[in-house]
Order: sequence, then structure tokens, then C-alpha cells
Amino acid sequence: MAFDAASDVSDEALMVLYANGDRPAALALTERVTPRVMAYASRLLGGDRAEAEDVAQETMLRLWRVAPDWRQGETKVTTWAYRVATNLCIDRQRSRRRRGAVGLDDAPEIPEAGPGVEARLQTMQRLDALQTALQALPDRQRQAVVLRHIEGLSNPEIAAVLEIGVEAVESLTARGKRTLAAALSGQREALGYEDDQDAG
Amino acid sequence: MRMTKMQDDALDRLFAEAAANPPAPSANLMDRVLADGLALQPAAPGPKRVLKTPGPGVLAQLAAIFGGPPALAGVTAAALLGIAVGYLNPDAAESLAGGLIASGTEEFFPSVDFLTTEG
Repeated sequence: MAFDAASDVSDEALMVLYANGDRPAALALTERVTPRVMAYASRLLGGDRAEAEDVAQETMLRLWRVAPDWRQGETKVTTWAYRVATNLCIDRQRSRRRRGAVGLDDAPEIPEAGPGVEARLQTMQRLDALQTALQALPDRQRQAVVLRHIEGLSNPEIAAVLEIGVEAVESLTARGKRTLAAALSGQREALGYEDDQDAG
Repeated sequence: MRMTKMQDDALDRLFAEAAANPPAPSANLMDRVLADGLALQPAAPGPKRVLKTPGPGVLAQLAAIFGGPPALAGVTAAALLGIAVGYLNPDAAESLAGGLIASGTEEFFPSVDFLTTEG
């Protein structure tokens, strides 16, 4: 049986199928979970694609190993994966700080010339500015803001990922957004924002 | 520090743009992850062994000869009754049998004395 992203089979059911030797389930889980984990890790690690891919592969490796013991109904696969990826990213960030290394963003992708290239460049510029502003946030605020406003998780889901209370999540996301807005306010024109005539 | 609604809206649009343009995993990463998954995947459980069901026992075979368990039970009961009657009250057995059972002794082999006497 083939499972694609539109299949009604849940990630949790796929885990059980995978643990029972169903090979299409391995492909479906790879395709569903890996991109999400990789994108999340990339945003936590300042856009470092190589490190983000390492985190994604390690996260999925742990997922494969835990599959035989997976119990449906206890937690969502994505919640589990985000939690593991968060902890792996924290470890890498601590290691960087100890080494005094500065995370290098990958060289920006240069869009091919053609219709829409200017719009694409502007999009890239805005996303780079957002990534730079995210990197300036404290780790916990960055994790909460990315999970809430980019990955689209609910506050209870974020609480499960970060292993904190829901109120703590709300506080982190609110403070994170305020800090981001302040950091980006000086770039409104460059980022294509309308002039802000309302103060306070 | 409070955000204005315009700042809030602009930031939400930026978040939406980021969500719509995620950094994509390389094909190499996807291949490695799948290879790991297949290498670590437990083997599928094999087909269940079907135990050979035992054949009918001796009693079941005997019952089949007599036309089934109820018939065998009836034959058995009748046999036991006959043994009981014959043992406990032989006269009753004679009358029940309608005289077919010999209650007295019969000489099936007459005396052979004449064979041994002269004259």
C-alpha cells in the first residue's frame, strides 16, 4: 500500500505499520516528517543548512529506533520529532558558543534571471531579515516563535515540545514577537512594509 | 514596548511568507533518511503456522458407525440395561425376550453312553 501526504493514515498509524515491516510506511514517514524537522532546525540554527540536515537525519534515526516501542495515543510523531530536534539544536548551539564559532548562513540562493526574479529577490531579502532577527532572540523565544508562527503548532503542542506550561509558551511568543517587530521596524521600507503612522 | 497593529500585521505577513518558503531538504538527505529507516526496520512478521487439526477420535469414529453420538448413546444404554436385567433377574430376562432365551438346559449333545456299552 502506498502512502502519500494526502493519505488519511495518521503519522502515528504509520509508525505502527513501519514497526511491523511495512516498507511504504518508511517512505511516507520520511517524506512527511523530514522536511518539517529540517526547516525547523534550519531556523533555529541561523539558516545553516548543513547543520540542519545533520539534525534532521539524527532526529529521524532516533525515530526509527523508537518505532518498535511506539504507543499510539501517547504523543504525536511531529511533537516528538520537534522535541528531539529542539534538543539537538540546543546542543549544537552550546557547542558553537564553547568553540566561539560563528554560525555562517549558507550563500544565498541566486534566483535565475527571468520573470518574477525581482519579486523572488525581495522575498529572499525579507526572509533573510527575519532569520537575522530570529537569531537575535533568546533561544527559548526563538523556538516558541518559530513553532507558533511559522511551523503552525498550537500553544499546547508547543508546550509539549518544549516541556513547559502553556502560559509560559504564550509569554515566550508574545515577548518574541514584540522583539522581532522592534528589530524589523527600522527596515520597513526595505522590506516592503507600509509606513507606520500609528505610534503606540 | 507595545506593537502597533500595523507592525503586528506586517510581522504576520512575514511569518506567512516564511512558512510558504521553507528551506527544502536536499535529495541526498531524503535518501539517507530513507536508507536509515529501511536498514533499521524490523522484519515483517511471517505467515502464521496452521496447526494440523487432530482427526476424529476413536469414540467419534465409533459413533459415526452407529449413526452419530445420540444413536451410540442409545445402543450403549440398551446394552447396559440388558446386562443389568440378565444379571439381576434372569427370569425377567426370559419373559422380556419372549421365550427366545433358553432358561433351562438343553442337551445338545445326548449321552454317548450307547457308544460305550455293548449290546
